[in-house]
Amino acid sequence: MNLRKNVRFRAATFFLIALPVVFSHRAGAQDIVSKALQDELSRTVGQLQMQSTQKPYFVAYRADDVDDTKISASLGSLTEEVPSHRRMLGVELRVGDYKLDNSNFFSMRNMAAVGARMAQSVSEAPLDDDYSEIRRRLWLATDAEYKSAIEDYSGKKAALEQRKQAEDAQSFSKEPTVHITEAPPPVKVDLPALERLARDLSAVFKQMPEVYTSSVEIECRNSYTRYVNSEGTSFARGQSNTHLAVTAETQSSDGLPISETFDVYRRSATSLPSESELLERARQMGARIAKVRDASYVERYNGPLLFEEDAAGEIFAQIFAPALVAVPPPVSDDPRFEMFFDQFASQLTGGSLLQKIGGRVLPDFLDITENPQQESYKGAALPIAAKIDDDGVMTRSTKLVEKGTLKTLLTTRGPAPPLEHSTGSRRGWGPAPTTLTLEAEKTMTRDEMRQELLRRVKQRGLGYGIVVRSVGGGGLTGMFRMLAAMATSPGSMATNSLTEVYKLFPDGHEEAIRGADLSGMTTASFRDIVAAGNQPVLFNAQFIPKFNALFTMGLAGAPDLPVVSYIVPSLLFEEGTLVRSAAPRPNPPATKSPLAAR
Amino acid sequence: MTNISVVVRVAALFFLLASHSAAQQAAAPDHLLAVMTGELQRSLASLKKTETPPYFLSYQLTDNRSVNVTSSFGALTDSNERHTRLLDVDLRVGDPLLDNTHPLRQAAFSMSDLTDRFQSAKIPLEDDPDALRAALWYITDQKYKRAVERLQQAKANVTVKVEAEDKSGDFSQEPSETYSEPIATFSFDQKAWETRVRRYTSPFKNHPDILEASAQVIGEIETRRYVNSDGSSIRISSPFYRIIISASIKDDDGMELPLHQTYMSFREDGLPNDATVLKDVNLMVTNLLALRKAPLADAYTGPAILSGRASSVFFHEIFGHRIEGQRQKNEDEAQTFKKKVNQSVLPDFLSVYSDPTLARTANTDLVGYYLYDDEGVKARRVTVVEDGVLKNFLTSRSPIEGFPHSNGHGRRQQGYQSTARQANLVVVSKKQVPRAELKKMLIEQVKAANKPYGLFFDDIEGGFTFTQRVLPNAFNVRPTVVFRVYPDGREELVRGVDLIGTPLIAFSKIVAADDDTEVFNGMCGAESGWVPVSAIAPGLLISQIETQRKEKSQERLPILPPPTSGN
Repeated sequence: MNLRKNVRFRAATFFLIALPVVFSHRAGAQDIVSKALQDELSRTVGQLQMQSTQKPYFVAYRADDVDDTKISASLGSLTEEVPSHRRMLGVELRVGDYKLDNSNFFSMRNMAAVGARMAQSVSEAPLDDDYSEIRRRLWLATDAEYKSAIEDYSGKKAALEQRKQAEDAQSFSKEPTVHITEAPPPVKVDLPALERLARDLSAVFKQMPEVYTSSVEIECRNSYTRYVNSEGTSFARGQSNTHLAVTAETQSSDGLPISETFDVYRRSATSLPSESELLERARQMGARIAKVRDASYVERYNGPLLFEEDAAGEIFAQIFAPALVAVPPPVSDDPRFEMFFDQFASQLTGGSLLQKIGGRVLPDFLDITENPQQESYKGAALPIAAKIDDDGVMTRSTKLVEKGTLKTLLTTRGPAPPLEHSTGSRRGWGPAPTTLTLEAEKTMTRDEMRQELLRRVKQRGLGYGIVVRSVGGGGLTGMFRMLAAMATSPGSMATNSLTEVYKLFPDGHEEAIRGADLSGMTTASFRDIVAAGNQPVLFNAQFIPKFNALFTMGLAGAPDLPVVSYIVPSLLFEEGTLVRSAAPRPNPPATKSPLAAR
Repeated sequence: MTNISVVVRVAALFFLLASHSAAQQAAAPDHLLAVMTGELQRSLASLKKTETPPYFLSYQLTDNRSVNVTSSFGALTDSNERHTRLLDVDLRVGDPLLDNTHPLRQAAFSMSDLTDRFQSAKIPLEDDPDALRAALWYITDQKYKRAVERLQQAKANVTVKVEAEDKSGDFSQEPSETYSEPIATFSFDQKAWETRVRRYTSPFKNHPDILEASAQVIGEIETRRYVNSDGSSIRISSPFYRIIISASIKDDDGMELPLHQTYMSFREDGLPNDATVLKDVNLMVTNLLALRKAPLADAYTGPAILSGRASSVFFHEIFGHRIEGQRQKNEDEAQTFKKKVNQSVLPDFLSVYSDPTLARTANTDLVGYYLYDDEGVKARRVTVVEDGVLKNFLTSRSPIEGFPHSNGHGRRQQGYQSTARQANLVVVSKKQVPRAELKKMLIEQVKAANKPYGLFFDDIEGGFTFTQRVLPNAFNVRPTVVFRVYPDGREELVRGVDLIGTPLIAFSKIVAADDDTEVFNGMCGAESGWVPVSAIAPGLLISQIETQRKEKSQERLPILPPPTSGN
């Protein structure tokens, strides 16, 4: 009880300091949406029970108001402009008790129900603050959730009764109750300014006929989440972010597809880098991929790899960070599903780090800290910071790796044994970091890193070393990238087509190479880090959960991939493998671009 | 026949107006069409130098602006505006006898279009000539490479498979067409419609048993620009307004009972006023509540009346789909009518024609209306059945045996390959009796067949049919409002009926038609995607139909009563 009070108190003070104006503005009057959520919650908790079955022991409702503006342009002309405003309602309902409930169960006998469940827990709500219609929608969604929860709960209990070993995992962790009320973000998007920016940036490629296709995408999103649950937690949280992506694609004369994307994440469109800076980046990227067309191949390289600046953040984000979350293994009425799941998950992720807690996962001069409340880095605002997670749990700073040893993993209220509590890390579908910092005790300057690479190259008797400056995602974003990452063949890790790679020769000169894939890199490879730079770089990217995390989808109001900030220094790996890309090589265009013809 | 002549006169009037305004603005040149023509010629000229030069190339740029407002139980659920441009490129290599579009016999579904990661050029929404040129170039080049590959597959397929029964080629020669309409004016007051659409679903709020209720108002304007290597250049522009209201109630046994009400017009002021819509909404409420109490129908066979709307869907499904050209050619199809030209296929008092150029019947705009099809061929009236005798099929530029030319029915949804599709299918009866007389005839049939009752299908939400050989050639028409008609003339609403059957038997049982011709405007989905269609038919008496029980949900009614402000 004491702890609970304490947390609440801290939350309230924090709020007062951060947003005093808003507090006085909103004090007193409860808004219609929150009232509808609260009133229907009270009715559900008090009355919902089907004859001879259990009442729900936990119910949570949330409403997400999302204002989204998406603008795309190509060659100086808009190609898409989609403003959208929507409100989604989410229902999370649990039957049973904290020890054992209906969650995390997959019936192989009733596969259709699994899909139906995912659809029914989220429903579209009116844009109007219409008290009775919001309650009506919640009523129907709750009813559907309750009925399937009862089926799942009895299915799960029956499945566990058929087993010798007892299920020692807790279904749902108990966490302190919290109240936080933030103001909605100011919904203001300067559409003409964004249109102009998209046009101007994309027009850069008009002068580059050797770039075959290109696009600029800007997405501005403001969301406001209201949440209430039957334990007494409630919060209202505003978040806003802006994403800008510039992509260019071409092919070399032998057909190799070459593409590059740069992404910028900010809290708002007004904090984007200046137009001149963005134009310069777009120009440089276009020039770079045009140049890479004529670069040479590397057949195979085994040796030290230096990931410089953003590339270090990218490789950390793509391979290591997704393993820093823990999700409980699902229970199924068919043990083969669980075995298959376990094998599949370990093949895809190179084994769960859950079993590594207490073990060494990095060299002893490296630490990893997650801090969702961090607002800025070196004076620049981070794209996202949150005081409360999507389970209604206060976020906190968590030391994940200390002197190379794994201390814990990020969890939601559905923890994976031996972890028992939430780290306040539910972001949409499941656990995800917000701001991860990889910190090194001993560091090197950029030049020292390169010297160290060359020293090792010489020691190994190699002619050159490899410097990776951009890893890239193959020009795919969001869902596609996630599917691509998940669909890699079992038995091997995803190969990453690297975007910007150089040979570094002993005399210090560099040569760009093309069509290089990074092969066989796993979380274990990170133990081979031998040096870290002294200038950590802030790199922001969408978080792509590993396959197993997808099965924990709970109350996901906004099923978008969360944006994560990575603060990571350049990293030198003792060993890594590059292979020549085996990607298909379609014929280059049979005709000349009309932009070149003139 | 009198009904139809009214229709024709109205349509003529409409065209007169349209061509009048076209003449006024014909002078303004279309920059996008010029860019399309220029790039088409440039691409053709450079591809001519390749080993496999294209023999035909066309571009169709479809510009669509739409506004959509939606409400549910009196609250606004969506209000958005969209602007899209889609490009369809038809590129043919080989020759008209055998080209890359030749159907591969017994080939599984092709994934090649989906896996091509380099077809991502986006179409500019603005009129920047360079951006459009670059997109046209890139997509044409991608299309060309796939076409060359596809031609080789087609040639191999022809070699290894048995000789095709229908030896007509892949592409017909058609005259080039030049036509330009002014860009239509589009008016849609989004804010005003938000208020109106809320009003349309408010009445449902008073009825807690109604679980779903939504109203959607869509205003859109579509401008299609088409150029091809035959020299055609076409610009068509038309607005389109719709109101769609749907509501459903759930019975104690889980059955969901939906009702729909739709209105469409080519003019915003052609939509009904609020009083009319609300009157229909209140009628929907009454009908839904009545359906909730209506007895569940059992499987039935016996005589029935189909209202004009029900007959329209019935004809669209069981007849219309079977006269689409490619179904006479494709050997996976059952080809019900292939060998029936100049033979009797319907009762001799019935005639059927397809007329895409009909914009309006006496009181309803027809969504199947167009002047040029998606292959740049001029639309025209086609007499399909005259006095019961089959005369013609609906054809695209894919020729079929005995019908070497297109009659302007090549249609598609953007992104699909055009095939022959229905547009406005009109069923006309020489013999017409008043509805009351038709009901008397039904009762006579019921008595003669010694049945307890006959059925009257009043309203309908759609239907489907199978035309291929792999499955039985059945149809299912999905009625929403059905009455039992007892020998004493009493009518009783029932629920849970699907009208099923097979085509040839169904046609042979049509006995009579009434004088109440009705229109069904809807969207039709088939191999070339979704296209808007209309079907127009009188009410029909059928001596024997078959019904089966409708599929139903197994979900119980909600456990708690609906929330009200009281609890």
